[in-house]
Amino acid sequence: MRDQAFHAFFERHHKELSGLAYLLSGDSSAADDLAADALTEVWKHWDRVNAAGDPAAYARGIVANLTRNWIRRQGRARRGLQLLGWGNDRERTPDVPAVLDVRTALKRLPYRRRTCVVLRYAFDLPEQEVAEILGISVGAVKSQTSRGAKQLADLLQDTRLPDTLDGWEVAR
Amino acid sequence: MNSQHGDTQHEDFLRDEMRQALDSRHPDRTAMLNRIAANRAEATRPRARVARLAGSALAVATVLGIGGVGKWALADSHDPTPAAPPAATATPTPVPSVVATATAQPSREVTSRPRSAEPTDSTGPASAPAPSASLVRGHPGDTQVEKGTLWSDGSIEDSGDSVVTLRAGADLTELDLTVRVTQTPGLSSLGFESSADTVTATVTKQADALLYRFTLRAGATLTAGEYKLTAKWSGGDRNAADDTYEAYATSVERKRIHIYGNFAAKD
Repeated sequence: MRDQAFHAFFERHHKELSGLAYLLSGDSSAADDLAADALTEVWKHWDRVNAAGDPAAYARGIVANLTRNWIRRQGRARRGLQLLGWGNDRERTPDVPAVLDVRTALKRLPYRRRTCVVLRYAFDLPEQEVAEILGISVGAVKSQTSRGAKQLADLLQDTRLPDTLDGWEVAR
Repeated sequence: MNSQHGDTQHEDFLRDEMRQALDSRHPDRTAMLNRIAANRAEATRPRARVARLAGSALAVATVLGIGGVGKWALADSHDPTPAAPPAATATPTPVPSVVATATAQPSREVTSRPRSAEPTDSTGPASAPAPSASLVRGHPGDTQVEKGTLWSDGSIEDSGDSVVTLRAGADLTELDLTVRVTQTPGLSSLGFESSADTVTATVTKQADALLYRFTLRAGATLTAGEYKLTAKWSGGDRNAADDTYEAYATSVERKRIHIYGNFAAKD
């Protein structure tokens, strides 16, 4: 039965899909909503998606799309408020917080780069699958991932240097 | 970075960081299931499209809501559709998302509400007012006990019996009725009764309610007539004011019927 199969799919993947939306959006509760909406899409097209082979890959792609749209809406809403003079002023000053966690750091990556890094490192997906999810070439996945990883590591390590690097104590 | 092995260092470091971020967070499974159920209900409800249009009238308010001043903006709005209903009341119409998007997308607003277990991000957009879009229909003031050929009534007959009486003016080919008995101290299920052989039920326990789901066996027909479907429970002198029922049915003329109501005493 479709409902049973879908339910099993939900149990198997809801955590992962919500986690994907979380790392991409940086917002924990929006992540649950986005993942649930993606799962609804999976349910709606269950027969077709199942016939095509990999419902999980399809679901990840939907999560990535819905999250991108959600982020755009957030941006539009914020810009609209700023035009009206209600904006959050802190938003405009590019200050670097003292502690940058991975979630905040991810937000500074361009979306495609961020998606590549998250899918490759947090979820260990092969390059080929990431390429299919994003509709880009494997080469593009490679370069986006490597640039994204470098940028993210720099962002994080700026504020969180290890005590020693190659045996040398790091000056603070 | 310095050395040739910088790249693999990056990779392990990032992998650890992201895994930790994932491990320290737990999705709200129930909230997700509820949202999926609501999305599904909306997709099957013909009113959804109308509601979406009506929703565009709320565009400004909704955009403001995302920005975090929604409470203020909506405080004096006289719109009958509350964007941020108080918890545990039913929204007559869930506020649909108003922003046009290129991809097919369910129409419920994706909201950012603070979670207790998690520090809210101070650099992100301020959290929107928590629209605990309660998806449960049938609360007093939000009822539709009769539709087309199907009439219904909810009543408490003995303490411990929540009875939904259905009067079908035409045969039904599908029936899916959920009785929601809200959680109160000591509440437990004693099963169900159905006056129709072809209608059986399952009882599931949720954090906030017992759900009795009565369904007509696939392929069977419920002939026109009156039926009593009973959700039995024990739990002493509980207040049933928040209990509700909601049913989807298909009549033999292939009309989709959606009714919902409660067990409050009628005038």
